[in-house]
Amino acid sequence: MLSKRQNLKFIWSTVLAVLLITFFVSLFGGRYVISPYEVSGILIDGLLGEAGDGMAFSVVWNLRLPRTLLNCFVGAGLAVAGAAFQGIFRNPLVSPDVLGVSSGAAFGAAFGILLSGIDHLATVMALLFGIVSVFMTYTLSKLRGESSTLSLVLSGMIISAVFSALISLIKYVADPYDKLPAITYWLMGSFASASYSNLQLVGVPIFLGTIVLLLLRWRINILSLGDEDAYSLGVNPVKTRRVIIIMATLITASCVTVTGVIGWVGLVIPHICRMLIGVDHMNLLPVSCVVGAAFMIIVDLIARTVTAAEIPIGILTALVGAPFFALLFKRAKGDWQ
Amino acid sequence: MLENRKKWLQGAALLLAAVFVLSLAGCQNGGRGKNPATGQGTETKTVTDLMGNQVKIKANVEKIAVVPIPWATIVYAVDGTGGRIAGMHPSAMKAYQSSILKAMAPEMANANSTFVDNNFNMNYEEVAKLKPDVVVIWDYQPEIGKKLAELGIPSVMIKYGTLEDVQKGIKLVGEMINRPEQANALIQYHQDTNSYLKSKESMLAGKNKPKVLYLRDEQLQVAAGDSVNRIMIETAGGVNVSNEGSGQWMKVTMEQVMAWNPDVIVLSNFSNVLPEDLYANKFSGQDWSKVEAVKNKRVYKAPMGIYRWDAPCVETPLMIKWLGKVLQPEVYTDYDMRNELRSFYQTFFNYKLSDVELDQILNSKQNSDLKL
Repeated sequence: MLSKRQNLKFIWSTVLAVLLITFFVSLFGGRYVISPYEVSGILIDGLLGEAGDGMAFSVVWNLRLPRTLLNCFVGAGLAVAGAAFQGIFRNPLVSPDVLGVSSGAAFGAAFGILLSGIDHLATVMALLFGIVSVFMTYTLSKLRGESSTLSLVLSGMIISAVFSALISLIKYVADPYDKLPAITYWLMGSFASASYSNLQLVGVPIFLGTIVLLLLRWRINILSLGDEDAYSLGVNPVKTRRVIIIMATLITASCVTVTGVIGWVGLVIPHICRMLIGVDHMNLLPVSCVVGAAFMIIVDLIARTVTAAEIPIGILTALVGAPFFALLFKRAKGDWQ
Repeated sequence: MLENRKKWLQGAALLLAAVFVLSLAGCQNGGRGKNPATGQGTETKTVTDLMGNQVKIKANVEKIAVVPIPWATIVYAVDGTGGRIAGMHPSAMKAYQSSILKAMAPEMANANSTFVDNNFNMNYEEVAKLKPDVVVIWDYQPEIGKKLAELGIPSVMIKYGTLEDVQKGIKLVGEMINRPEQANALIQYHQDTNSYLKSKESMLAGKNKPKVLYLRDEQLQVAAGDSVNRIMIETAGGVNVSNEGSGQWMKVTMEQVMAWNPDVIVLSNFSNVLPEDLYANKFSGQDWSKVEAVKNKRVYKAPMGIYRWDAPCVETPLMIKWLGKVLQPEVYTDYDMRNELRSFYQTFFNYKLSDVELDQILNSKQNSDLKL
């Protein structure tokens, strides 16, 4: 039996190795067939600043690399936001969109697409409504004069329901030939629009939010003990929770803005990591980041390579994630709490 | 206090009762008014729809409600006027508003476009109000047909997807509105074009066939193996690159497009994507600059006549002739696209196209390189 410390080291080196491997496999695989040897050459050329002119160079540097980087950002962001939420809400069934951010952002994007097609308006509206919906949830929960996690979750359900209905309304009135397919594809999620410019756009908020959550991870440990214990340990649970909610919202809204709705990652990756490394958020949050990134790369690799038609990522995260989760669920015998 | 409330309730009950009785009377009146009309039996006739059902309709059909989107224009083409079109799909209305048909058939602007919604669900009360003599519905909507029958409104089912379906549809419309000669003339034009295209097969056999990508929108939906666009491309003398997929349209990755590396790209009228958008590499996550068709500036916007030429329609023969000029100009030298269009519109729609209108149909501004 390994000591706890050695065990931790082993897990860390394993997940980092997996991330590194998946990252490179993702750069080497795709519908446009390029030999691994050639890809290596292209990567080295690009790093040396010798911009190639060929199609293969463009495929690797302008399509696969930004897409894989975006996979990492979104996967890590959603997973860490999920892990933080599950900690502060003390509930393993919570995911990053529990406060309505996904349905709000989805509504914003659908509305933007309805007004002017897929362009900057849809992006801005998605971000805006994602943040607005969480603000509404937070305000609604305080109407009861308390700020308990239960009233937050309930308010989130109410706001989500409203925005879901509005999304249905938009889909109902959208033109079936041009607008409706765009909205439907968007709601199923896709990394097809990955580029360096939108990496810059959402990379900063996701990175920032993730860093803050990682810095606050010991406070999440305290919050997960309950509000009374938090007070007695000198931590203001309401304020801390607010900061964490703002950061997780920033991350999730940014993710949804470029990729559409991707469910399941924020719910399941933290669970998987808890089985790997335990409930201590000091370890759980950073590991969730790494595993989330690797998982997203793998799933998107499948989405874009298996058939000539691209498979929507939202379908695959569930189809790949669920059986994997079920397997772990069986082996862990439910003792991850 | 209590008295007051009681009075109020009584008043409300009375009012309700009055409304109820009045509305009943209204119904009866409506019923009585209608009975003699149908009872005296305006003459009827029987037509066979494309699913083989025998449908009894009025001998003299005056009002048709059309559910399938491109079919409003088929009725127009056979009739030579839009006067009989009482209702059409909201998306068909949208296409109408932005096409040349608006100038040719202003009467169609008044057609109802709320009796059916974007998802092809029927609003029965609206249909009942509209009282069409017959409703055209899709082959997969037999339940809607049954419900309409309960309302006393006959419906014909149509199939859609291939060029033969269009010809059969034209014939059916001709029977419905008693204009078989016009329908036969249109069908004859379709068949003549087919034989003309067939006669070019031997000439095409030795030719280098360009790889063609038929792009629907910026989401990278492309015409797949079962699409009519594949048939159009192959008939005209090209190779559709995306035959691996089944179905009409499929969404692909940019990397897949680059792997296909098409020589020619045709943009559909289902979206507003223009050749310059691809030349300028406007779409996030897509890199068109290395694709052969973009490098050689061979991206074209498909024409749009009385309907989008991307879908099977009365103008499909013209679409294949246009594709022939795009893909194999040295093979298709027997006709001039503008003359072809002028005589088609003159013959079948009795409409004289101006040069500006021809430019509009052929998207000449976007396709200036074609010099058509």
